[in-house]
Amino acid sequence: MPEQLFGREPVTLVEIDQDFCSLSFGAGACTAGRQHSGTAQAGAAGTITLAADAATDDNVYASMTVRTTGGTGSGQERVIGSYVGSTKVATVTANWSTTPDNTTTYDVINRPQACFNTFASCQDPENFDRGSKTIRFCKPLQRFNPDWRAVPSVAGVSASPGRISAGAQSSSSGPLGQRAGVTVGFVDHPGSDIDFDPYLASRSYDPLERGTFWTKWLARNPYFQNRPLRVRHGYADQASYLNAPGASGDYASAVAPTIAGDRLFIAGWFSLTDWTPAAINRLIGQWFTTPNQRSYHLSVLVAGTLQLQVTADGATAETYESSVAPTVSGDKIYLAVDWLGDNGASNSEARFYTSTDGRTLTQLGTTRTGSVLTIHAGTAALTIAATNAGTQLPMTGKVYYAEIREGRGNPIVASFDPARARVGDRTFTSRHGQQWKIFANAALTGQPESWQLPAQHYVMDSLSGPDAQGNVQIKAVDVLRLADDIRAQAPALSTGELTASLSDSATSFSVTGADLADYESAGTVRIGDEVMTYTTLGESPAGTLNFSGVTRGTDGTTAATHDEDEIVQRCLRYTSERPVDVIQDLLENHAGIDAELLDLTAWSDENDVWLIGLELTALITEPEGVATLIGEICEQVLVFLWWDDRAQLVRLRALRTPIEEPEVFNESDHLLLNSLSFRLDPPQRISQLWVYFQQKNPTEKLDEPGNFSRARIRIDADAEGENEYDEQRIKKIYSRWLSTDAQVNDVGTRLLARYRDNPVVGSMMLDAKDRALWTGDLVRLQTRLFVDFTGEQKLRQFQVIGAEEVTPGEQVKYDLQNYETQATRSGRYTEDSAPDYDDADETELATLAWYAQDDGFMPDGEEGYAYQ
Amino acid sequence: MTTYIKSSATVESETGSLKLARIGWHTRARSLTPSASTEATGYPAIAARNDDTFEFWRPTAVPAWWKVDLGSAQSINYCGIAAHNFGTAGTTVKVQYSSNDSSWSDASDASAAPATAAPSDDGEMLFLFPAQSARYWRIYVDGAIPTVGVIYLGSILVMQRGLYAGHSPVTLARQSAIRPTVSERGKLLGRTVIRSGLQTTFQWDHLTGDWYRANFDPFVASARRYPFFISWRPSEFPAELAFGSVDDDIVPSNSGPRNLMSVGFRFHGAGYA
Repeated sequence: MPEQLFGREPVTLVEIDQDFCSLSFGAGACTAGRQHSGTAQAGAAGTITLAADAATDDNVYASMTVRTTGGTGSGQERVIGSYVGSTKVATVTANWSTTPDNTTTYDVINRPQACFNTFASCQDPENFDRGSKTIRFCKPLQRFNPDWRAVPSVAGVSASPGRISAGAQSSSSGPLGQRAGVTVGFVDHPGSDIDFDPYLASRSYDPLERGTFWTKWLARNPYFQNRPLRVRHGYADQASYLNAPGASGDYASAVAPTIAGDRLFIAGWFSLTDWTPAAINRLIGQWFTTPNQRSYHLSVLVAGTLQLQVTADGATAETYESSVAPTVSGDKIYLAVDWLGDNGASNSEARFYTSTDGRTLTQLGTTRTGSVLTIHAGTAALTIAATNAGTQLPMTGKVYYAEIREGRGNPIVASFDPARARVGDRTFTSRHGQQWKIFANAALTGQPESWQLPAQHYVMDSLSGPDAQGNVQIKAVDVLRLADDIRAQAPALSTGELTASLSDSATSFSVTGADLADYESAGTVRIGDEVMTYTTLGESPAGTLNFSGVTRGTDGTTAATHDEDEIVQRCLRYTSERPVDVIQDLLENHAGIDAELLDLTAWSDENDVWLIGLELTALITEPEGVATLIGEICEQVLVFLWWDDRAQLVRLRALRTPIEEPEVFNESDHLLLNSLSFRLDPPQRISQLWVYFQQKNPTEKLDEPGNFSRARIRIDADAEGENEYDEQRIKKIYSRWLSTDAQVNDVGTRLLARYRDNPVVGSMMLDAKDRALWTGDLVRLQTRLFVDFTGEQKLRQFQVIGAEEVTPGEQVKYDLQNYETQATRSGRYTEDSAPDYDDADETELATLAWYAQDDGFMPDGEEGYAYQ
Repeated sequence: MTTYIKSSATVESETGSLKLARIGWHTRARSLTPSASTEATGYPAIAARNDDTFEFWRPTAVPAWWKVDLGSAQSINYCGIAAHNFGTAGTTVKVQYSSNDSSWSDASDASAAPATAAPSDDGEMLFLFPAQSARYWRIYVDGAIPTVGVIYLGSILVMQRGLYAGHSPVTLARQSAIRPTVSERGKLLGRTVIRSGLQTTFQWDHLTGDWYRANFDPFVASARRYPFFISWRPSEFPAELAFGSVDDDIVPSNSGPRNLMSVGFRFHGAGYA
């Protein structure tokens, strides 16, 4: 997003993804509204003679639609203007493109009574094929791109930020923190149904005279909850694309990133004036002929096929050409190429792709192979719309976006995103830091498309209105709401019942009232207060489930007799699993949150650096709230989750020292006037941690000390001493997840280190120019409010636990909590293969730890590491 | 007969004083189902018949036309077009009429001025021409594929009196809120402009009672529901034309023993300005 300073005009776009059937009323799998079907007797330019068994009443099919489904002229639709029952001749209101004949099969469909492609209005629910349709709204007096097809009825957008509960310690929010939310206000108005009613032309009424937009929408879409809602913010004069006229020198250029050598991924949205151009069009590349500073480029050849050229020595090019040309429908297309330097057989491979949404890639033709295994790390600039400093094979068209990665799936190392610039800008900085310059007659122009406006992602929760004044409000929240205890339980409640009474020694039993999929093939169940495991599950022809290989009275419980009809509850068992894997399972399989929304790669990385040794073991024998379970894990392994509404991802981070050095914000250039406010938060302070672990019986109460075999108490005596706080602040944890002393010691040390002192919480506001800062980020503040003993200002480090654009595109409010550790350096236990301190690189120095010298300092004089 | 082309926004060909305000409220297309040579998906012809400025007709190729069949010959003397992108796209446009849906004539005096307009911007357009009676009317576009939100075809209201001094031309009456952001140390960090559109007032005095009742009151009745075009002085400032609506009922007052009338209203221009 372009962070403009002066004269900026914020624009807001609200998107709703409503359900929308992919079928057409009465066509294909949808059988609704079909009044008659048959094979035509004959056809003429403007008529079709229906089958002999068609209706005998004149005009009975008038205003209906005849759709040809097979034979000559198949696939056409026409409205019947009149119909003669005696001759079966239907006269259509517009001539056929291909005249039907006696081979033509058809359906007559009552389109005036058609549905609205929503489930509530569906007349053939069994064949409802749920798809999605994005509808858009904007503010009435803002700049408007007709391509958005947005309804200018937004009265206001009010966000309530999510709030992180670090380590589930916050007393003011739930264990998963406070859910982010947004309220969008609309003003109701007459609705033309354009874009909302696929059969508008067939209706017999004027939709502007019937109901209002929102009354109709709500009638058609009563099942709107949990459907996506996005709020996009941008600026009125934001550019959309680079317009490249096609002359020599018309291009964009930036310093190129260094490509490591054996992986390359190029992608972007491109629009060529001619997709079979008279000369090769170079789209993007790092390619300078003299003196031999070629590296790579992606181009479109005169045949329309794509070409990737790479070189290992900066001079000798190897060419990969797509086996087919992309099919371009519409103004632009997403193109990509993924180049792999060594496929394991000493060959390189290039795969070309296209996409309709920029996310789901479809390979274009076959994989192309070559012999160049590395890419020359040249000094040529990265150029758009031409190579060779803009002089070679310029393209004619538009570039909406482009990116470079070191292989598909790897982070972006360079991007070209004109939507970050204003129309007419000659320079701009991309999201990934490239300083782009625009040359000659190339220009940044156009109005941004909806996807070019950064979005905040939510799911709809409720809708109120329209009221008598026509006001409508939609409230939406983040997806972690799906994990709330009221919505998600783990394990799911089982419905299977014993078919007969069970003795206290039986090793098999049968269950009725459940399906095979309701239980694991081998696992653990609970009947009454007894837990038992089984090795085999089968199903009888009558549908009875048969459990065998049963071990009775496991997990600290006692075998007992059970009555017929007792519930057989499936249990959820985790054994030495990584915390992130347990959290993923709970969110994905028990809360129904799509794995795409979980930042799993980053989670795994975080786990494997900061949560080593914290493998979890637990048995859950009855349904419990997913939020509660995850909250326990967050509290006991000291991680926190939050919804990143900008990235549309659930983030996870351990409570640990930061690796990176956060940006400094000060009172001169960043903090808005009178926006700073801080206070101490004593309720969060802890001086003693009591951890009960090794649960005896998972069927008994969790918060009962007697139900645990072990307990460990960790006390910060200094903090409790009369020279400091002079009081005890005790926190008790009843852990079904932790199982070893080492785990408990680890957690205790970290928790006390973080919360031995009164946490500092507060808020600040920044101008929108600084809004890249967002929830979960760390920041250092330099303000007169934070001083040392002498009164000199000192930096303090905070974490953003909540962020909200209070006036979108203008001011952002941040909720903060101090994020300071007792030592300036901390690390983790390392592998034997880790380098010595003197040989470690910067990342290793930041993430690993070495024993200090006797004086507490490292060999280079730096402060020693502390256990955090 | 005077043929008048003053700017990209107004193409005029008619008699009478062009110093008097024109109000384009009447449209014969509103209750009809228009057709078009082509329609892009999601941009049907009917969208340009509606009064809103956020739904559009867009052809898939040019030249293209947007047409209404009035059912019988009807008199038309103006065409208003709003929410279009003729200037940005580079589209030329003209108004045509036909009695048989096959032979078309340009709605202007071609001997004095070209019928085709080539707007340089996307501002509202008002075609004023001698009244023609025809059953079929269409907008003919060429040059580049446009997007068109509103098309009115009807009889223009020519005000009986001129506007008096003190009137703020609507296109110059921009409304906005300007909000700077200032840092703790007083540094200016940013400046935000929130546009509130165009807003002005129109006031006429000394209208005769008969004229008001016969000509202005039908407009008042329409303005309760529908937006309209208004040009305050087309002869000198043809580009100072807006499409918008009133917020309140328009209520006249009797201004003297000769039953003259005074009337005024507050006007909001539609869209981004």
